[in-house]
Amino acid sequence: MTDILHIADADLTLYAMGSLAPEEMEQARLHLLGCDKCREELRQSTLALAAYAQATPDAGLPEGAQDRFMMRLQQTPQMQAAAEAEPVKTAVAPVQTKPGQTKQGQAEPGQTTQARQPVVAAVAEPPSLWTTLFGTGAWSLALAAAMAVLLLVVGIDDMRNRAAIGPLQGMAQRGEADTAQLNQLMELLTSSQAKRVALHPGPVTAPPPDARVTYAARTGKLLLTASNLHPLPAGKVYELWILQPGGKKPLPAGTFAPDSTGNATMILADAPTNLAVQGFGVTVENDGGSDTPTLPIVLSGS
Amino acid sequence: MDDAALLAAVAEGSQDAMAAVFDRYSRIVYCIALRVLKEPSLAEDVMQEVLLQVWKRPQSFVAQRGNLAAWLSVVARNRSIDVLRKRAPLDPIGELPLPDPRDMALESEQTWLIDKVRGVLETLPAEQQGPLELAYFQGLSHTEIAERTGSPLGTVKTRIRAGLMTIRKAMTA
Repeated sequence: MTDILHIADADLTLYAMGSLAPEEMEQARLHLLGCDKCREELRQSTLALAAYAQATPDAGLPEGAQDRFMMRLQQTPQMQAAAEAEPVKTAVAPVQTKPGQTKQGQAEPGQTTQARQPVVAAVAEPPSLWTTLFGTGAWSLALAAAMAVLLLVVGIDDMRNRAAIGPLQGMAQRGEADTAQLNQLMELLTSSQAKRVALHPGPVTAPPPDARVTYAARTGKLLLTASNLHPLPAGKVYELWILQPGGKKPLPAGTFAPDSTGNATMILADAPTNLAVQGFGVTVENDGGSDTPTLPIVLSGS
Repeated sequence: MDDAALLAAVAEGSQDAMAAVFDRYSRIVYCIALRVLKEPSLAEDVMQEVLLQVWKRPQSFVAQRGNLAAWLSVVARNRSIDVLRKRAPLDPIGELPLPDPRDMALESEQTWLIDKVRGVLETLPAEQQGPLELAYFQGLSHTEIAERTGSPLGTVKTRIRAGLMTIRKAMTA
């Protein structure tokens, strides 16, 4: 059972029953995200299981069951369709926000209640700020200001993100940042085409590893920030994968290693472009990276 | 009135329509829950919870346009297993899409289909029937079934799969 091969039929049956081990359930769920063939097989198995359940012999309802139900019904308000949508979790500065530029992450079949609610948000576009900052030639001031704008634009709403961006901010203040790289970073973060995806761990431990990916498919720019990563043995690195729909092979998108505090930042200016992206995953690979992911997937998001 | 029309009326707040949903599906939901839980009061609680989800969020089901009987059956089983094993719900209750070419199937067609399944279950070999029952109605993992039956893990998986495939074939024959 991998993201390249299909899920074994017997395992898919057990997945439909919720009878696989938690880590196998998670691996199958990730595979199903991008595999039409396995989703169809799961659908057929689920319908067969539903028929199996419905073949249960009739035992009749307890006396007064309908009255009790109708009594509860009268005390139960209906939910409105609009009220079901959860508020989008973004904190973009008002001056940069454009209406209609955010959308909510969606749950998929088989997802658990503890499950992730990845936030996918388009980033607002502030061209005037960009021109102003980088048209002056006052690099150290511009870089520091750029990082301040970056913090506003990305809409950092938790301390983990601040910790991840912190090292970059410090670099800017010391005038050590690579201008070209920062240009690419700003372009990525201010692109209206960019999406931000929150990646989460499987079983939660404290403190849980956390990573966020911002990827612009058109330009191939990608930013990963991570925190609370577990330290790796010598010769091992984390590798980011782009998960594609339709059961296509995951694409490697760079390796990274955490610092002594568990934080990591990776900027790619030449990630694959124009991809239909199902999500992202992170695995542990040998130093230098791999062409195919080695399970388990330690972080994932869609 | 078919299921689609019934759900549309429920979505408009009709308690009469919800009473009709209860008349149509409460018995099967209750019987599935009772088969898992073996305790009438717990089974009735599960039945109420499952049907009240249809009342609270009918629009989510209308949008999916699935097979209502199949959806209710799967959710009833899953909730019952959750109660049996005293664990947090496996799936968000309104978010289990079950699209089916026989969307909103006629009651008569559904009854005919289930009768066919009952027929094949009577002929299912005991070595397939047992693991399928343990996995689906008792919520045991394949590892637990292997320990309980003394069969190898792979054999348990194969037998569960074979039993399910027999049901699938009966449904498409």
